[in-house]
Amino acid sequence: MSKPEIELDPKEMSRRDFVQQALLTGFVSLGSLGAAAALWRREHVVPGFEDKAGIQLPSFRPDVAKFLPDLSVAHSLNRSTAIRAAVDQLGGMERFIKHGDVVMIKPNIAFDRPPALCATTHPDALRTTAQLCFEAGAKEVFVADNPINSPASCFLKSGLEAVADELNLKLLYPEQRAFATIEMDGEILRHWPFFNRPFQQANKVIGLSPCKDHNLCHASMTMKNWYGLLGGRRNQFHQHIHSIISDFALMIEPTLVILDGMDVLVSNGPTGGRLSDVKPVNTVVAGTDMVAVDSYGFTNLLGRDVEKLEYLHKAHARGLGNMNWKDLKLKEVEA
Amino acid sequence: MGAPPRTKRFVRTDIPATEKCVGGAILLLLLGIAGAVHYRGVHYDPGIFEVDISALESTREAVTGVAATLREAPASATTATAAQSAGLGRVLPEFGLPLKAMGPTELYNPDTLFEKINGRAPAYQEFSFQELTTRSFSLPQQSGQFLDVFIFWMDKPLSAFGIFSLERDPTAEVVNFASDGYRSEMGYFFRTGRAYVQIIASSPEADVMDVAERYASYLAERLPADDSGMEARMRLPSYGQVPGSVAFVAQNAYGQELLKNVFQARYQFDGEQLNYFAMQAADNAQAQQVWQALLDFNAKFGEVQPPYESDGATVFEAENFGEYTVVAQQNGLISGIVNAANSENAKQFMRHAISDHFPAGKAVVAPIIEAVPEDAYEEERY
Repeated sequence: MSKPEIELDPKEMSRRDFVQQALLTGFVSLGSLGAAAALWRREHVVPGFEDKAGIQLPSFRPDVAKFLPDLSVAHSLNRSTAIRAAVDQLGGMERFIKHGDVVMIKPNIAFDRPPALCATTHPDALRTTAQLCFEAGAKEVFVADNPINSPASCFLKSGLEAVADELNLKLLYPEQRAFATIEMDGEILRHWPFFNRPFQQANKVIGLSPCKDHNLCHASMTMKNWYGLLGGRRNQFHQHIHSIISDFALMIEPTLVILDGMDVLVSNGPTGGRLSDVKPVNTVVAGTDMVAVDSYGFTNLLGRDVEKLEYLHKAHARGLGNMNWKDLKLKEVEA
Repeated sequence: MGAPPRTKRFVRTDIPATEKCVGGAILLLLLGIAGAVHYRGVHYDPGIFEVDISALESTREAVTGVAATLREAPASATTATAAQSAGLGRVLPEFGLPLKAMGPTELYNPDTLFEKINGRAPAYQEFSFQELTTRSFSLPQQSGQFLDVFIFWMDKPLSAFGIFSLERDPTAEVVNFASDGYRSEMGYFFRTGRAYVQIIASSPEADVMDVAERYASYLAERLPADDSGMEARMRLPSYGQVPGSVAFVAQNAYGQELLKNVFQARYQFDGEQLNYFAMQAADNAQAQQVWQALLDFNAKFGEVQPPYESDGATVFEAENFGEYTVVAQQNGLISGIVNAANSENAKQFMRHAISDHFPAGKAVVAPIIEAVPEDAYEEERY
């Protein structure tokens, strides 16, 4: 019995046609995948910067002091007194700054707001910190930040330019040539334009931050302050705000951080705009571990639940600091 | 007789030419988009935020120790700014006040707002931010003092009110030159039409605040008033209203999914502070649906009295965990008291609200404030 004949339809696809079309489809698919793989960058890279060798910051952290506290808290009605007392509790500025040091102070002057609104580092805080550095023997102190909008306006309206003039501090503006690419193995930050010029000159780095409510990340304190060193369209990191802030603890190991909680911006942060957004807390926190400082600040200055501050947990989990500030050597003083 | 085919045949049919053309066009479009994205990425200018140092020096000289703004972001010549669309110019003037502009008027759009208020920008974008017009002025007669003027243009009055009420200082003194506004210790904040205005002073000194107030009132006169879309707000009773307590909730008011675009306010009533809300539904059917959903929710978690009629409105009363809720609806308006400690106060307040503020027999369409005629500010545009 013979096999029944299959009647060929003139429109039916032949084996040859099928193989040709399948191969064509396969090549197009593979080509698309290849193109996507070639274009995809795991790192955050600004095109134009990728061919530049990335820099890494040295550690500016002081040697471990066996008998001195890691964290200090000072309460006072006077900002200058509180800062001096907080630094004294850590062993004095001489523990951090030696004769002939060149010190960079990184304030937070992200906005061109007057100082009373507490959206920026207070001029009295800068004055006292710079004076402490000079008293400890610093050869030079300069101030650097990269506010996106208008650095001149931010320095002027925040009152920091007046202090810089008064104490002969050098202000470093974020000119294009002042940037280099930083390269690191962060959770999100890997390869990015960085305000590097201050670090080419300074051998000590002090972070000087206000304590603020923040619309996106709940709080802007000493860790968030380093955001101001990034260049490029850094607002794209807002989608990963907790990751990028925790990366700052990897990016930089400062000599000292000071959290100014004399007047805390408790609402409508980070810009504020009303004195009713500001609450007097009359406290300054200082330390070498910014994770611990921020953990204390979030709990005791902003009065919030530290369990909810994701970037602290991330930094703590990565071993970049200790958010359990109660485990540290802490000195608290009324000044 | 031939045997039937062994398998079901796959028969390729002709693809119409139109379909081929459309398919080809889509593929070309995708290629074009991919190419454009790649090109923009490769040609990104990392120095886009570079400071113009020469401009910095010149502005520094110009303001003699006072702040300066550097970045002017002019809209293209063919694109009207929000201010211009509102019938106004693009430059914020001194209005003849003892002020000196510290730089040009700056404009920011939703893509660039972060350059001015990075970190805070998302809060404004949630309320459909359109454009920021801003300028700084020094006060030559008061050395070192300045005013920052911000006009945030939102897509509609309701959005402007939303961000205004989100940021409002509830303890501040209410001003009378704008439909919504207050004086803070260091500035004036008001909403008129779809503009949310902030005049921030460098200090709370009386002389500085006096200029700030005059600037705010001049600006309020010239900005177009428009309360369209805020009909429910007009239904909030004024008697006993706690100043500065009116707020706008766009979604999920009181945790109820159906309560959208709700206005709420607090009232001092017979020794108790009451929370009152009003929502204007699209039509009677939607109002009935929302009202019924609220009734069902209260019945699920508490005890609801049989609904009744009062002055033409349908009302229910409920008790939940020792707190009282009274909700009424009529002609598309749903309003009520929630979480009152005293049931009699809640009922009595609602009786007043229904009799005085409900839209008896007609739909609510009542913007109270009329728009300022354009020629009213023809002489002194900004």
